[in-house]
Order: sequence, then C-alpha cells, then structure tokens
Amino acid sequence: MLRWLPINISSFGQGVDNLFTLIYWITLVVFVLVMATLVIFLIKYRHREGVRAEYIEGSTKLEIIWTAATTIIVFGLAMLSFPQWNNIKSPSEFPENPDVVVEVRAKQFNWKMIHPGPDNEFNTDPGLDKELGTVDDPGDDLKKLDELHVPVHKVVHVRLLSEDVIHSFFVPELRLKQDALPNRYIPVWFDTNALDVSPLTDFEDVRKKGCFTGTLTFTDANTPSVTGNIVYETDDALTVNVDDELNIYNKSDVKQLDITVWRFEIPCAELCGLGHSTMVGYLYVHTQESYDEWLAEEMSN
Amino acid sequence: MQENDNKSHEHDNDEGHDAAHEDHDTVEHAPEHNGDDHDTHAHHHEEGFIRKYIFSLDHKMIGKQFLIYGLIMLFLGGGLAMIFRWQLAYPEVPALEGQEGRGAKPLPIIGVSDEFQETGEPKTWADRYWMNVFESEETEWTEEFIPGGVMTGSFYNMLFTMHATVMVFFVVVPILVGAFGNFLIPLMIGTRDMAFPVLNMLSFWLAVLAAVVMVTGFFVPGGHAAAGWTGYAPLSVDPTWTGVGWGMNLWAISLLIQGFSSLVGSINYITTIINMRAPGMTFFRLPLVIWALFIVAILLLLAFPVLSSALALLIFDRLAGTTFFSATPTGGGDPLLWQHLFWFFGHPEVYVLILPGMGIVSELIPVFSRKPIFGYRSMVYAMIAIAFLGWIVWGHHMFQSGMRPGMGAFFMTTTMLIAVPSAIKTFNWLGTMFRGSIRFTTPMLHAIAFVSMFVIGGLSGIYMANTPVDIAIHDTYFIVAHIHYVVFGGSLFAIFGGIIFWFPKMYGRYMNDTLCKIHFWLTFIAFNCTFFPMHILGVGLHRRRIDNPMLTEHLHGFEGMNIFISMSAFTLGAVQLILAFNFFWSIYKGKVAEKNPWHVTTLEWEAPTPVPHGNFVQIPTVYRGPYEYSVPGEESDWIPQAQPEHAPASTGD
Repeated sequence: MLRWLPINISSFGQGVDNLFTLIYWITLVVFVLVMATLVIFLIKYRHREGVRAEYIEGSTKLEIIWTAATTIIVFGLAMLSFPQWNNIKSPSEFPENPDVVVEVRAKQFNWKMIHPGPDNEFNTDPGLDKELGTVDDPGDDLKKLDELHVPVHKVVHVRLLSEDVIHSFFVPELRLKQDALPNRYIPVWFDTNALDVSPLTDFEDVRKKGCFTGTLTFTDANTPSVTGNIVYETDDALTVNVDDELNIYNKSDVKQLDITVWRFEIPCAELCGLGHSTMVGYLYVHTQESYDEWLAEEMSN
Repeated sequence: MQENDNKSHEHDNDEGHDAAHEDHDTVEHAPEHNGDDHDTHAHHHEEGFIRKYIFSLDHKMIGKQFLIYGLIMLFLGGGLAMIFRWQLAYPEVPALEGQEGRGAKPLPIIGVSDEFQETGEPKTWADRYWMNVFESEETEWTEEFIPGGVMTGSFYNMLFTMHATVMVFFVVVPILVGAFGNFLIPLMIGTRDMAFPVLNMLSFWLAVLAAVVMVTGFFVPGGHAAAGWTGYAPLSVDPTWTGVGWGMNLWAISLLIQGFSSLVGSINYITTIINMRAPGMTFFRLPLVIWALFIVAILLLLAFPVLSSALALLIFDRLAGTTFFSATPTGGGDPLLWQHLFWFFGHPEVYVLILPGMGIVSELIPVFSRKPIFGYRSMVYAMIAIAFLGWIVWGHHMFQSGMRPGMGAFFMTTTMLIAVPSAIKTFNWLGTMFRGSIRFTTPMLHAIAFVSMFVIGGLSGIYMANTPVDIAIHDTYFIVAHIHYVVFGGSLFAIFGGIIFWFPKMYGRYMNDTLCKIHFWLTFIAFNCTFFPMHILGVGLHRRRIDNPMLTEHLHGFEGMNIFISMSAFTLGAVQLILAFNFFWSIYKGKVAEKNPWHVTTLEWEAPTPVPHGNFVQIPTVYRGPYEYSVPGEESDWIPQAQPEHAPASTGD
C-alpha cells in the first residue's frame, strides 16, 4: 500500500515516511491478529445444539495486559514522533542561515511567490504600503505567479501568508503542508536534499520523479542530443517540449537523461472556495547553475 | 385499572390526583411515583390522531418520529453523495500538452452528448433538456450550477458541504440519540416516560424546524452553504469568497436551532436516567447502551453550546459587520478562533456519533453470544475515558492550521491515548464472544461488522494522530476513509443492527429477515469497496474536497480507482432502498412478533408488545445486572433483570 506514496525529496520526508511505515506495520499486525481472533471465535463458538455458553464475566488480568500493552505502544510512537515534528514545524529548530528566503502569499486561487530584490530585503521600495495583506506591487522584489524556484539541496525558508481566506501550502513530494493564514506570517522551511540529481539511465516514472528540464542523449550516437521540458510521459515514450515544439521520443531510444530542473506541484490543501481544485502552483527545483541563471535573468527584467 | 380505562374518555379520573396531572394527557413522573397508582392514568385516555402521531408526548412515538426523520434525511444526504461521486468518476480532464483524445467533457448521462455538441441535433433526453434550458428566457438553477452537465466548483462545494452537514447533524445524531435514546431509555431503566415529555416533543419539533430551514437553503439564490461542514472562517464569513449568500446564513441558523433541540433532549435524558430508574436499577445495573446514551447526553449538553456560540458570532460577522473571525488588520478577530470553537465542539461531537453505536453493539453481542458482557465495569470506564479524552484532543484537527507547533506534542499524546479505551472495548467484545454460543442473526451480523469496521477506523486514526505523518495525509482522502469507517462502518452498522433488533418491540412485528440479510451483505461489500480504496487515495496524497483530481499530475494514476469508488458508492446507495422498503413494509406486513423474541434479559422486553402508553403493566423491580446469560446451575440460559431471586425461569412470552 505504501508504494502509492509519491517520492520524497526532502531531508525530513524520510523521517515521515519511516514513521508512516512503522505505523503501517503495527496497525497491519494488530488488524490481522484481531480479525483472525474474531474469525476463529465466530467459527469455534458458533451455536451448536447442546453446547452452552460459558459464564465468564471478565478477567482483570487480561484487561490490565491489553491496557498496558496499548499504552506502551502509543507512548512509544509519540516519543518517536516528537523530534520529527519539531524538526519540521518548530521555528526554533529550523536550520539557520537559509540559502533562500521567499515569501509565499496565497490568494484565491493562486500562489504569489516573492523573492527579495537586489538588497535582499522584502518590501524596501520607498512609498510602498507595508501593511500586511495590502501589498500588491512588491516594488524591487521579484514576484512570480504560481512558480516557486529554488536551488537543489539548499535550505529554503518560506514566510507564508494568505491575502484572503485560509489556504494550505502543500508539496506532496516534500511531505510538507502548512495552512496559510490571513494577517499572520507563518514560518516554514524545507530543503530538497533527498532529490537524486545523478543522470538517469532508467526512464520509468520520470515525471513522478519530478524530472522536467533536461538533456536527452540517445543510444544511436548519430542522433544529436536534445534539451527541453518533459511535459508528458507514457509507459514507453516521453513528450518533450523543445523550443515550443512537442516531440515524442521512445524511452528505448534514450541512453541518458541529465536533468537541470525538477518540477513538483503545490496544490492548495485547504478548501478555499469555488476554484479550490484549480489552485495548483509549481515548485521548480534547479541545479545551482540553472538557478543562478534563472535568477540573473529574472532580476534583469 | 380496567375501570379507569373505561372512564378515561371523560378525563374525570384525574380528579383527586395532584394538580400536575390535570393539564397533561401523559404521565408526570417523580421517582416515588413508580408504584401501582401510576397505572390509573397510564392508560387513561384515547388520543386523537394529532396527539398520538404528530404532537405526541409519548417517548416511544417521539423515538419513532426521530427514526423516520433520520431515515428520510439519510436519503437526502446519501443522494447528495451520489451526485458528487458522479462528478469524481467523470471529471473534466484537461487536454494536457502532448496528450491526445482528452479534454473538457460534460458528465455522462446528465450532460450534453458529443453528437449534440458537434451537430447541434439533440440525441438524448439530456440534450433536449439542456437545449430547452439554454433557449428559455429564465435562468434555471441547473444553468447556474451545472450548465450542460459540467459541474461548477461552487455546486460541488455545496454538495459535499451539505452531505456532511446532513449526515452528521440530521441523520446519525437524530437516529442514534433521538430515536434510540428516546425509545430505549425509559423502557430499559424501567419507567413510564421521559422526565419532561413536553420538552421531549419540543426537541423533536425543533429538529424538524431545523431540517426545514436547512432544506430551504437549497432554494435560495447563490445556493446552499459551500464552505465545508466545518465552515472554516474567513471563507464562511464573507459572501464574496464563496458566492453563497443566504444559504450560509440559513446553514448557521438551522444548526443553531438543532443545537437547542439537542440541548433540550440531553437535559431530558440526563434527568430521566438519574432520577427515574426502576427500583433496584443501580447505575452499575444499567445496560451499556444506556450508559452510552447518558455519557453522550452529557457531551451534547456541554459541547453544543460552544458550537451555538460560534454560530452566533458567525452570523454577527456575516450580517452585522462584526469581525470575530475575519482577519482584517484592524478588526481584532482571528480565523483560528473559529477552528478552536468548532473543534472544541466537533471532537466531542464525533464521540456522540460513535458511543451510542458502541452501546448498541454491547447489547447485541451478549444477547447473541448468550454470555455476559466481558468486563462490564471496564466497558463503562472505557466509555467515560473516551468521553473525557474527547475534550482535550480537539487540536489534532488543527496540526497544520498554524497553531503553535508546541501544542502538537500535547494533542498528539492525548489523541493517541484514545487508542487505549478503544482497544479495551474491542478486546472486551471479542472476550464476550469467547466460549459463547454465537447466533448469526442479522442484528449480530451488523454487530460483528461494527466491530471489524471500527477496528479499521480506529487503527487508521493512529496515522493521523501522529503529527509528522499527519503533515502528509492531513486534508487528503485518508481522513475521508477514516471518518467513513467510523461513522458509516461504525455508527450506521450499529443503527441498522439496532433497528432490526428492536423493531419487534417498536412495531410489534419482525422485519423480513431475507431482505435484511441481503441488505446486510450487499451493504457490507459495497461499503468496503467504496471506502477502503480511499485509504489508498490518501496514501497517494489525494487532496479531499476537490471536484477534479485530474488537475494535478500526481493524481493521474487514480482515475480508475475513482471510477471504481463511485460505482461502489452507487451500489451502496441503491442497496439502502432495500432497507427502506423492508422497514416500511414490515411496519404493516411483517410477521407478528412475540414479547421477547430474542430472549433478552433487559427491561424493555418485559413490557407488553406493542408497548402501551405508560410502558409497563407494573413497574418492574430489578434484581441483577443486565447480562445474566448462561448462568451456571440455571435451566434457562438467561435470567431477566426483573426476575426475583430463586423464582422459576421465565419462558419468554
């Protein structure tokens, strides 16, 4: 059942998945034992003529055993979970000195991503209204709609805010979810340390692995390699957008895939109105080189 | 007594009794009245149709009224689910880049056909309908919400909001607490009626008023509430954010009225159980279902006013311009306040949904295993523990809400502790079957289904109680699966089992057993096919409350599973018609039942069938606990609670 989980790309995500797996096995074992007992009892103690039920009012010893056992298991689970939870959510435990700080503002039904301008400060343009929730033009800051660009394997701090109703910043592959509230900044952090950046030679589920922009090298040495965005994937072919033209390549013809940008979805996870389903942003994870390039280009505009 | 019966038409037999009896057509109770003199007015008059069936003061009739009310609302709530499952099976699939043959498509059957879109020639009845709608001058509601068979986001939001609202407030609580509570409490504790019969009637008619207001919301411009059954502020506060105007107001007003109904009912239950138990009926001789209803009444009494306050503030915010829950920088309000208030009510409320189910099952399993309940006292303490813990876990709904993260540790621990009393109850039910003599009657099948479904629902709760795992699966289908395993797999199976079990006492007839068995097996299979795959959707981190999963790429693999779930859901819905038919048919045509067909020890089966006004010919005296089955040395395998010591065993009719 756990194979249905999306891949994990964050350093804390593995901890979440480990707990998920642990609880999965505990609950599965308990479930199987209880159901087996139930079925055995139903068969063994079904009504038969001349066999009378035994008068048993209870057993204090058994009650103590299963009360104690359950208590120990749940306390154990709770103990294992505290550090993970604090690592992900407690601002005091966030890694210091983030490589990127970004403000994410949710507004029906989009994500506004704001990077600080060249001075590395938010909202520093003179004359701007600094009131929360009213800044529509971030001045020298870099504003992107529904696109969050970050460098791979780096610590990112997010200041999360909503401009209207409650939304929820959710990146399944990061195992990260945090509601965005109006009128209150909520600090969030993540990294992408668990993202595998080595060149791909196995092309199964490349979109599920987030692969987006990359260079395809072909087994046939005569075919020149191409660079583009992988926009769609079937079991045996990749649709690649090369300079606004869609080309389809058979996976069996591809020798190697070097990825420079991975793309993941940022769906809104809290009901936010009639367009809630459509509120999906994208997290673009760049190699450092690609990120610097992107940032320079955006800043020059 | 016979004499009094004959005189009853003239009302003159009230003379000489105390004043309280004069203006009432029903019994006025005080514990000391449990003697024989009660019988004189217990049967004392014939009631007209309106007094007997509509504005009845008799707890049994009010119980039946709640039952039928709940069953009618069950079909409304279920019907809403059918519509949104149709949408989830066939959502508009956007034509993705490089993908062929996909694109926006109206819903099958109720939407316009492809041929009509191409040629303009209507082919199906839906084509003709939509052609008329589009051509007519007036704007039909269908044109606004589902034009041409393409469902709008606001309509979808309204559907799931109302599905949950109806199921929680108008189906499960009215049936479990209103119907079973009313019918069973006086009968099982051995008294003639509720402490406050007029309040009891008021409770039912307030619930009817609430339902009328709630249903009216479907017909106002802008449609019904669409902010989820949780009505999170500020989405629920400002009409511009949902497009819903009076629908949301009516939703809040209706729930306020429902709150009054619950309040009045719970005061009545608590008073009755504390004051009016038959002689010898100590607290630890109460059947467990009465314990459950007693605890639930306390929960409702304390929890519902919190929701009522929150709803009142919400209405002020919407209509009077206050800012309790909105987050304007100068307003001083806070959206999280709504969540705290809502869940402070909401979590005890979900125990209101499950505890009576546990109580019912704790009655059925001993009866059909012919054994005492395993660990009676620990069962009672476990229920009290669940109810107590229910007050200090509300924050687990808010782990991702922006609440201070430090609170997560506390709420995780308290939430996980609920596993302990839940485990005690489960193991005690198993212990009750151990070395029993199990009869597989239909009520017992439902009880067994309850236990196994509750185990799944309970275990899936541990995933979400665990804060780190909850970060991933919060607001996904995992919670949808969990709540349905507890409330459908739990509460509804208990309701079905309870209806079949007590039907002979309610209506003096049996329900048709073949139909009951068909209904049970089909429900059990369709239920699991509908809700088990939702766990898998949850593990795939499938957001809940979205009308179109195909808009996110990580959910593309779930298209087939969503279709399967929808088909199972339609089966599940259709199967319930069997129950409805069987229920109403059996009221008139069922096989006539004897007084105590299942050989049960508790007091309700001491009353004649059908139970007369005033319930008992003579108020029974209780000599023992409620589960004396297969007592060693006794010839009969059951000893009624009211049977005196050392008397020969009753034959049961």
